[in-house]
This record gives sequence, C-alpha cells and structure tokens, in this order.
Amino acid sequence: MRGMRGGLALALALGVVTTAHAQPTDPPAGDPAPAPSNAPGTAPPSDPDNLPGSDDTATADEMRDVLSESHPRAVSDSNEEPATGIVRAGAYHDSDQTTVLRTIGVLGKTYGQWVLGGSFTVDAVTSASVDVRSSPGLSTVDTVTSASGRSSTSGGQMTDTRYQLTGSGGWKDSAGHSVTLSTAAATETDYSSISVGVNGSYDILDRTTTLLGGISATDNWVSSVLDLALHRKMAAGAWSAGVARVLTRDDAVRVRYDGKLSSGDLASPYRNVRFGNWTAVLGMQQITFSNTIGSADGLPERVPERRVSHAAVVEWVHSLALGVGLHTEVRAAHDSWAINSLTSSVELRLARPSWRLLAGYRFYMQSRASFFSDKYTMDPSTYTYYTSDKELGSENGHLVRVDLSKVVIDAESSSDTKMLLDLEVDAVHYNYPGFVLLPSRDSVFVMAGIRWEL
Amino acid sequence: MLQVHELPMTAHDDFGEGNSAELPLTIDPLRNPSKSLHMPTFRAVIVVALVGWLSGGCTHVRAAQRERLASPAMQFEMDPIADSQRDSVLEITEGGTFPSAGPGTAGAGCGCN
Repeated sequence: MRGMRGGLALALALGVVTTAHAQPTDPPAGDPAPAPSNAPGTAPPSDPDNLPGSDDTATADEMRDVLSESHPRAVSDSNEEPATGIVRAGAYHDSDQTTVLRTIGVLGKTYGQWVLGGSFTVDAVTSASVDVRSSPGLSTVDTVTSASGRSSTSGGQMTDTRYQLTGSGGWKDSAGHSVTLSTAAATETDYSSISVGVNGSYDILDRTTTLLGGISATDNWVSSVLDLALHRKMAAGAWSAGVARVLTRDDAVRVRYDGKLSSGDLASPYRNVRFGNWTAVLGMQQITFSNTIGSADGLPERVPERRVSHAAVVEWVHSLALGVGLHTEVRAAHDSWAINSLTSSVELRLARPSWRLLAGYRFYMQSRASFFSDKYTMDPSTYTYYTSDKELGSENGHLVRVDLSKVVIDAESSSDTKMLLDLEVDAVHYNYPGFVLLPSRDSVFVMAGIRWEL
Repeated sequence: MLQVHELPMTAHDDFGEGNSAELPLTIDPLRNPSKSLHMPTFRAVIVVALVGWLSGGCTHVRAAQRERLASPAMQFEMDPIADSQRDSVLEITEGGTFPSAGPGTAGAGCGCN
C-alpha cells in the first residue's frame, strides 16, 4: 500500500534475502576465496607454523566456527557444499500504529564454482499511521474493502499483503573472482516492481585487496486503490564501486561509493498537503485540518520527477581478540533534493564455535529537502513542489541492535543436518523536528528463525 | 605530477533543524588568499595517502597471518540476512538512506515510498 508511509515495515522485504543469495553461508573454512562483501583474503591460515598470535588464549579449534562450516563435516570427494535453507518469521510494530508480520524463506546451493539461490517473502501489513489518517481517501475508506469493490464507512486503517520472489545465480573461483546476477519481483495491491542486478569482486595484490562493483535497475508500476484509472511509472538505477583491504593482522577496511538515480512518479498518490497556517486534530480514525487555504483536504503532493543520490561509506573492522571484532561505519550522503545525511555505527561482535552475538548502536541525522516545509503558509500557486512526507524533513534517529545465533544441531558427518537458531531484535527511535503531526516515533522489530544445512 | 582540481563542493548545515545554508567548503582566494593554497594541498595529501595506502603502503599481511581476520566476527557482514532486513527498514524511514548496488542487491521496490 503506497499510502502507508508511516507503515515503514512494508518494505522490510526490500532486498532482504537477496544478500543471502550471494552469500547463503559464510565462506567455507577451506575456501581461500573471500565473499565479495567480506574482508579480502581472510581465509584461515593454512600453515600452522605461521600462525600469528601464538600467545592467544584461544585454540585453533576455538577459532573455527560451526556457523561458517568451521566445524567441517567429514570431507567428501565432491566439491559440492550442502544446500542451505533459512526460514524466519518476525513482527514489526511502531508507535505510529503500524504492524507488519513477515515470513521469509531462503534456499541456496553451490555446485562447484556456481552458486544458486532463491527466496520468497510475505509481508502482512496493518496500519493506522499518520499518513493513512491524514489522507483524504484512506481516512474515509477502508482500503481493503475498497480494493475488493465493497464500500466501507470505517476508514482510517489499511491492510495489505506484499509478496516478493527473488532468484540469483553466481560464479566464483578460488582466486578471489566472483560475479552474481540477481533478480526480484514484488507485488502488492497497488504497486508492482521488478529488479535485476549484477555485482562482482576481484582480488588483487596477493589477495590483500578486493575491488567491488555492481549495478542494478528497478522498474515500478504505481496504482491506487482509490483511483482505478491511476497508472504511473517509476524507474531507478543504482551503481556501486568500492575497495576492501587488509591493513594489518587485526584490521581491514572497506571504502565504497554508492549512487542512485530515480525517475518518474516519486510521490505518493495518497499523500496530500494542506496550505496555510493550519491546525490539526489527531483522531483515532481521521486527522481533521482547519484554518487551511482552500480545501481542508489539501492537494496531492508534488515532488521532482528525478532524484540523484550519492553516498560514501567507510567501514573498519578491528579484532580485539580471536573471535571478537569491532565494526565501525561512517556514511555520508547527498542528493539532488538537497538532503544531506550522516550515519555512524559501531558493533561489537563475538563468534564462538557454537554461537554468535552482535550488539550495536547506530546514529543517523539528515537535513530537509529543499522544497520541504513544516507548513506551506502561502497560496499553493506560489510553490513548485510540496510534500507532507516526514522522511523528507529534518530527521535524526537512534538504533540499538542485538543479534544472536546458536547452533542447536551440529553435523558430525557429511550426511548430518546442521541446524541453527537465529534471533534479531532492533529498537529504533526517530525524531522529526518540525513535523507537527508526528514529532517522534518508536519502533521495534523482532525476527526469529532457523537455518539448516542438508 | 598529481593534479588536484578544486571541486565546487557545497553542503547544507541544517542537520536537525533550521534552514539550509551553504558551508564555505570552497575557499574564495579573493576573500581569503592565505587559505587558497591550503585546501588543494590538503586534498593532495589525502589523495596521495589514499593511493599509497591502497597500493600497499601499509603492512603486507600474508594469507597465513589472517587468522583473526578469518573469524566471522571480522566479516563486514556478519549476518547478511539480518543486515539486509534492517537496512530495508532504514531505507524507507530515512530520507538519505538508499540501497546499495553492491554485493547482494536487487531487491524489488515497494509501495511504501
């Protein structure tokens, strides 16, 4: 549902599983080829005499990690790796009255140098967010009954289901060269999308450095449950280039540039803008505006049909001890709508033979778009663009994250199944200074699931 | 000789509140001639350092010395699925965050924008 801007979780599916396709499991311990997203050439040492840190308290066995096949199964004659399956279910809820239930399934299989993967995601969304209740259409018509052709007198709430299917195929060799082609399709009541992308990596300098690159394209079809005649298009292209490098025995860094071009209908067909020094009464079903210039319903938002975004990302991982890592990241972005943003995060990671733990904090802040205003106090004809999208205004956020993985069934032989439990908890607080209808929002996202190798 | 060009860099300083305004990231030599040489020099130093670093200007770490780096705790994406799920949330709740076309891409769009 395109109108549920406040219902952020609908897009939880975006790209969720495709990352896993490229890397359904961590690199096998015996495979010297690093995954594209990983530090270059970080295969475990093959020469025990050259093992660094002989004073480490951890033993070589402790270094191994069953989660990344470091508790290797009995070596088979073939190069085939086990098939990997992942099933996770989760729930998102926020203080803007939006709830999303998600289920995802992922399958991956490696055949020699070829890697195949696929996934399926279902999101069930229910929202009575500020965006829904302030929409002239959504606040008076229940969107589910509207979509099914029935009338409703309730309104102020929307429900929808989004489905996404992805597939990927990749090739990698033992010298640190890889390429992955991936595609995805998603559909919901009033929005459909298809994507295709290709990315690759290339190790150089004795595999201490990895060059990274990728491009992707997305085509989107936009419609409306309130206006069956509405059909709009939006296309996007993205590109990325970067380099990862081993600095020391304990440090690796990755520097990346990301770009994106969006073109077409970038506005929501449900979101309206009120003009004048208006006041609002926030009801449970509808937000009522008064003292507006013109209709209290306002006008559909208007934004530029083209947006170009750039971002620079620097990541650094530092080993505090064997199996203990510190990951830090700084990202700066700028786009043609004049939004500047800065992100910084830090994560403490522990990896042990039978479990992993990650705890992190992330801070985000952004400036407003050039055409965003808390209130458009003059006549609509004086503005070229106007929006009521709070994500285009000033914003800052804090995120706390905890991930835990635990092996519940270990594989003793090549015929055994290895199984793990995964738990992920994210809590986020956002401030929207200047956005009258929603000064802040708190949300929590919890997912749990199992991973297995057959 | 390394040539470093003056780029027309501008930025807005209204993180969090207020109106946007351009930061004086470009130095006007007419107004501040003493600084006109400093900015290119500074950039040249950065570029040289970056090129030197990327071309192996730091300690060469052999494969056999990467024991610690091989740990899952040291991967840039420790749990790619959890990372991508979190990122997909952030991409629609933050105006300046968008998906990368880098490793593991091509998720389909959604109607939440």
